[in-house]
Amino acid sequence: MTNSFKNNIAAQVVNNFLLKLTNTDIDPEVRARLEQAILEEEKVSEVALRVAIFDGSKDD
Amino acid sequence: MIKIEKIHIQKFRGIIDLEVTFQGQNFTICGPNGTGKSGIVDAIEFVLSGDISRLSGAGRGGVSVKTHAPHVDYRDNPEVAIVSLQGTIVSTSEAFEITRNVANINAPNITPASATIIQTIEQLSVRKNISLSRRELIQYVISTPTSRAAQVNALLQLEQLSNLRKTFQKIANAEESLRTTLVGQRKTAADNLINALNIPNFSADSVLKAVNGRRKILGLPEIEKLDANTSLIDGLATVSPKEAQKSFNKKAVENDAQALRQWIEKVGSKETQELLESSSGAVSKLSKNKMAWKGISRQSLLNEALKHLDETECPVCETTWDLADLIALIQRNLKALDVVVSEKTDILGNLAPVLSGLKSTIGALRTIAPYGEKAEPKHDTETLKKAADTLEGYIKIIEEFKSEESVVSALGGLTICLTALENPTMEFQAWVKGVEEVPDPLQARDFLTLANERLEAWRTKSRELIKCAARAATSKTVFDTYSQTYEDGLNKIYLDVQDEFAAFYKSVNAEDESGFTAILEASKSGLDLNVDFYGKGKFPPSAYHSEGHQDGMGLCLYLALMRHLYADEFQICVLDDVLMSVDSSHRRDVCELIKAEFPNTQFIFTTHDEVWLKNMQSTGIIAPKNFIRFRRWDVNTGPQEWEGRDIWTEIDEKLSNNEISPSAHLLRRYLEYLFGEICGNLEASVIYRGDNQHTLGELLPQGCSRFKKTLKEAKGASTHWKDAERTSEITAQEQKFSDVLATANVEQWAINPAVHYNAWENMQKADFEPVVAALRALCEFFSCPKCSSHLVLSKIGHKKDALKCPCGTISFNLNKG
Repeated sequence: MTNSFKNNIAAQVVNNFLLKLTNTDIDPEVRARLEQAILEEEKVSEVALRVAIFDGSKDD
Repeated sequence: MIKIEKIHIQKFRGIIDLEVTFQGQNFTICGPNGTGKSGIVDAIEFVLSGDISRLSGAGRGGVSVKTHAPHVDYRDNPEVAIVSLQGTIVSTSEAFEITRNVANINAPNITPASATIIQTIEQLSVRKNISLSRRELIQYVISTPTSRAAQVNALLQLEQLSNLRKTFQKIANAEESLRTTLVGQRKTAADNLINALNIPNFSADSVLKAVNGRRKILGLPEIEKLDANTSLIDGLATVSPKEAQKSFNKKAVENDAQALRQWIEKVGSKETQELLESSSGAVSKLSKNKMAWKGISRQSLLNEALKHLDETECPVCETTWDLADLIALIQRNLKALDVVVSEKTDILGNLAPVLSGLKSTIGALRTIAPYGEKAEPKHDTETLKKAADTLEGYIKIIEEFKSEESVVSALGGLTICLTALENPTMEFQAWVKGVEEVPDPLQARDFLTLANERLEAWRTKSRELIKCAARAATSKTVFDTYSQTYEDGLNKIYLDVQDEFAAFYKSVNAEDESGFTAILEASKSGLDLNVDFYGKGKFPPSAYHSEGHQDGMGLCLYLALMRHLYADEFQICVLDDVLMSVDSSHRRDVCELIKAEFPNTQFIFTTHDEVWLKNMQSTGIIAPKNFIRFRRWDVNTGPQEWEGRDIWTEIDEKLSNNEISPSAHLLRRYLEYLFGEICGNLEASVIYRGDNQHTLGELLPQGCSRFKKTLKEAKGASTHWKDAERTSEITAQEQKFSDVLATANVEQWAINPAVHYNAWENMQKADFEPVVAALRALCEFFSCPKCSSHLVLSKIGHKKDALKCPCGTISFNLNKG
């Protein structure tokens, strides 16, 4: 796993977010896709986040 | 992180060629405004990051690093605008050099190119917070909560988090909006089914009761249970599309027409009309701000641009741009639109119920319009069809919100269109009433066909809604979880920073604000900062504190934020003429704060204030010789730094190359500097100039005259103390000085500016050598041959004590006891 965040504060917020997601009813696969999308790309796009959350296009 | 050892700046900003040695230590660049200090700050920022914030900040339209970073005479040759920086990686003690030129901003030359060095430089290149100017400093303190939040987020490099939050919110909002639309569509489908079945409410029992009654007429078995796949026309002979199209369930059509009538009355009510009028007024008010309206129309374009920007030139006109600069510019413009966009959202939010009702009206119009063809005599429903299209067009215009004229016109058009619908609707109802009833079996068949069709429509919308609701719930959970984490993270930072900020500020203002506290907290509009004012309550910093105190707060907040962000990695910081409004005693306290709290950070200061330079020296945050002083700046030469330079060797080298004009120019500039210092040191009377830009003709005679007078006073003192030997020495010195001055006066014509600029080309080395020799001999009277320092008039109280150098080699007593 790479971490594109520029500093520890930002990285910590994102890691906390991913951790908190595990305590929700979000599918673990959705969480895993979000982790990959957010941490590997510095400028994560809306399309990439949609695919991560919904596992497909908007029209899926 | 790094420490800066040395920087070499060539043809960059206001600098032609300048080398400054920092030795990895704190350092100060001192000089009046406009002498080129900030050029060094720009050069440090440029060589480390490829950017110059002064050229890429807000309100810098038409200015860019690529075009305006080179010296003005070299703006067409950006490849010669070069900055080289020698530094040391603190963690590994590796020395390195990075060189960057303006023509090739994104490809610096780094040597040695070790992994550690490359990684460190890359980390630095994304930092935009190495330097702090007063313009930026004051934004932390007296800006609006929105801009303060943006400024702090930028400093903490949290834009990435903020952007992520916005995207999650956008996705969640879009899904919720789609879900709401589908809820409305499913409700319409249910209403249509209720109308077709002529039942009071939508339940399985009432549907089956109505359907089984018709099935009995047709001799079909009853349906016992209504589930997801039940067909209401099970067993019915296949109905051809043509027949289906002709089916006319009179009761259902009457119900549909009545539903349309009710929608028209609802959206045409007095309350709705008032809402449309007030919305129209709000749109007109908003559009008085032309820039705001222009901004709204640009918002989608700017958002699209951000999505697709990934090249360094315009795909349309091929103009090159700095990608980072352009993205930053677009983001700033989008931020500026936030308030305006918020007003637009409010207007559309108020109109939402009306627009929703209108969409249902359109649905009702499109449901009943085809009936005109399905019974005899036929009825023309073209007006109803056109009204549906017109209303849909108006809604589209309002939701797109592109221009004042179109939105106001569409809001007005809605009323006209609804009013115009009243008569055609009543005519349609009268027509339906007059349509002859068809025989029972045929009517029952039409009834079942239409009911089944509408049940299927409702089932389709229900399936879409279930799927969409799940997506909306997922995206909302993701957004809520992220928002909560983000806000918790920010509030923790603010809490930590506010305490450190208050502690720093208290240490600078200990004598009168020892009880100072501050509250830094996230608010709906951004980031609020409220500070204690002498125990009288908490107020925004600009409410009661002086400008000097505000400057101090800005620096303390910046330092607290930087420490929070980098902790021990906060190793380099450039403070560009900050604290200009802070008085001398508090500056000393600032020095003490920096010395105590940041012993491992290399600070580079610029200041126009000699007193602060002395504060820095006396408190020890800079070593005695860790400064340069610019006296003058010239567009052809850039800032001039004289201390520590061997001017005479430089001139000799130029003369040996027969470079007469540069030699004369250098000599004149040096003499202007030197005699400025001498006049200051000897307290000579010079015409006051606000800009401190004296000419040599104003300085040299006054300095020499004052020196002669001082020698005379020294001779008087030695005579008073009956020191004949000393008196004789001074007499000889007076004579020697008079001779040298006379020669220098004769030769001075050669460095007259008029000659200097117009006639040098005709002079030869031999012509100029005597000029240099005469003036060099003159200058030697004012410096110590041992310590090279200039002579200074020392005093005890207001009484002159001696003319001497710091090492004591030269000392003329002026005191007669």
